[in-house]
Amino acid sequence: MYRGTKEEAVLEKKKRRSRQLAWTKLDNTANLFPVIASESLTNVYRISAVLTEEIDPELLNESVEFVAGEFLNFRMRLRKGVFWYYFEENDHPLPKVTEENDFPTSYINKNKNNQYLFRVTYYGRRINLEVFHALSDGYGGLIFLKEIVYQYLRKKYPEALSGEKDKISSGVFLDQEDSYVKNFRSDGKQHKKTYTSRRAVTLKGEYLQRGEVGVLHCYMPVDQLKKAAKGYSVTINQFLVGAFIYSVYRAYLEGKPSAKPISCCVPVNLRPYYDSHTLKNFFVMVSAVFKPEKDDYSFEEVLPIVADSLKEQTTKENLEKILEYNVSNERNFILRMIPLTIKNIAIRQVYQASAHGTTSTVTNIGNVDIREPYIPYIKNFSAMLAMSKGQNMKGAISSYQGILTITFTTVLADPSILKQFVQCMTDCDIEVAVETNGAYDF
Amino acid sequence: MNRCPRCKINIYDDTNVCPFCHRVLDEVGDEKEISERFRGGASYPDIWTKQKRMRFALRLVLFLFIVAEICLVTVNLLVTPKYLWCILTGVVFVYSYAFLLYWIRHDAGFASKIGMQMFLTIVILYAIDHFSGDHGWALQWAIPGILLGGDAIVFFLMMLNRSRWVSYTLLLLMIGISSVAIIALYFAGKISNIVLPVICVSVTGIFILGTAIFGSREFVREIKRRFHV
Repeated sequence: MYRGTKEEAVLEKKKRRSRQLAWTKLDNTANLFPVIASESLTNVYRISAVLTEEIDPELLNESVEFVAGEFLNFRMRLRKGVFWYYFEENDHPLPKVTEENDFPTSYINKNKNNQYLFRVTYYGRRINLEVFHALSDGYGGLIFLKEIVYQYLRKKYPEALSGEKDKISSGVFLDQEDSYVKNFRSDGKQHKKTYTSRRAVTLKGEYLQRGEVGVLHCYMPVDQLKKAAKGYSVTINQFLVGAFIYSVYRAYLEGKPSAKPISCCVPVNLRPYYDSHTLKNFFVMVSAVFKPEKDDYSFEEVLPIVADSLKEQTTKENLEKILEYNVSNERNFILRMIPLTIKNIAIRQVYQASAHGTTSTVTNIGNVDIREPYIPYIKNFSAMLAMSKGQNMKGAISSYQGILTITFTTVLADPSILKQFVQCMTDCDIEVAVETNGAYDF
Repeated sequence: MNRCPRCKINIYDDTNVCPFCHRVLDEVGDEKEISERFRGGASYPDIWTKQKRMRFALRLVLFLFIVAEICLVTVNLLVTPKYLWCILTGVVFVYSYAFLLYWIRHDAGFASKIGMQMFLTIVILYAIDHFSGDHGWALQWAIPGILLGGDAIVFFLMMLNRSRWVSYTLLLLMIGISSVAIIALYFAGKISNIVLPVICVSVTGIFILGTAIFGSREFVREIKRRFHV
């Protein structure tokens, strides 16, 4: 990758010609994203770090170049084979870091981005990393962003951080294994399908303008959330997903029974279950389901149903089943031999069929653990998800230094579900501060 | 930072009205303390005022195409009502607009775009020939001509982008397969004149052979990647 003067670039180019570019297959989940990605369904997620001072674009650019040089997983471009897509090492120069000038999670046009599948932008004190999901999931994205932030801070405050070396943090795994395939244990049996084609509630209504995305950050103290969740004997994640589903029930279904359930997908990071450290995708989806069969459920009634629904699915056995089903199709030799164009049609069909089975997605990238010397310079982290087929509102949770941030992204013009969610939190004696991107400001 | 006592929330946005209940907000006394405590407060750029020039340009082209086609239909019906050549111009307009959209919006690589464009052109030429009397000019002359043009484009791109010449290999192979397919049509009795198809298959064959020999290991690697199962 070009990082120096013109002469160095020429030398680099010569070297490049004589060496073989790395390539790798897409992981099991990644196979889906290139097929379904479009300008409106971008399959891009964003993780942002808010620092205490304004961002210096030059330093940020240098930091991104340095860190990307070490993360081969992010230095890939997507190519089309006859039977599968694949990643090939991208030897184009990295695109320059730019000031944020589009809505969050907007489409990453590969041709305008030197074929890279991620972009880094900044605005004020915020650094945004946006990643096409085929490349990596939130775990990989967060590690990459953290290293960019570390490097940036080392450059910005060389004296205060003089004890910190200009290198990727020790302990970071740059592993690129396909953990789906590695942990797939075939028992030779036919695997039951794990996605549902049963229709769920779809959030509809007046939409924002085409391409526009409304963003709402809710900041809440973790200790207050813990206390509230403990009061209901559920985890914080279950509590928040339960509150979101309850908000949909109250604000969208107006507290009435529905023939279709509210189904909220929750991605589960499989790394702790399989001792994996891959930077590639390694997660499966489980669904928190609530079917309102009578009028006026209270939050106290909805929450245990949602929590139980999640608990039942988040067992090692069930996650194994989902993984096995997902991978078994990819391993089927006959399916593998089908040309990509035909596979894409089939994948799109399956995706369309399953898309209406989900109302929304709420993901949790967890507590962002930052190395001690850097903490004073970082104010917060947040994440957000792009819309998917049939899912017009999504949530992403992160926490940092005692504050949990849940960020909702939506294309709906009516913020009543979000209002209901905030009300649900304040009713549980949780202090809330909100921030939007202006989509709902008067 | 402001506060909505009705919704019981603090609001970082630079607004005087609550985004949820639309109540005019109260000021927060200890603003700095609260702002710091919640760790928020990173504003967003004003994207709404961003100019959407591309969208406007595309709409303008669409508008002009529609107006032009309406004029042509009118002229056609008034002057030569027995021969509906306006259908052909309509197809050309639709094709041109689809072509424009595909090149602007689709972010596939050059090779894919050229391949797709060639494929669509071949289909349209064949359709025009078929629906205008099946004279066979599409398969005998036009399509081999397109394929030869494709060879020339691939050669030009390989020379222009020498460090990544190998990325055009698949397109070249597709042109090769299409050339052979036209020859097969001769043996199936679908076409009578084989001059241009033979020139096409010869040129493409020599091109592929040259690429395989001079490209050596890189060519093999590319084939392996592209055809991995």
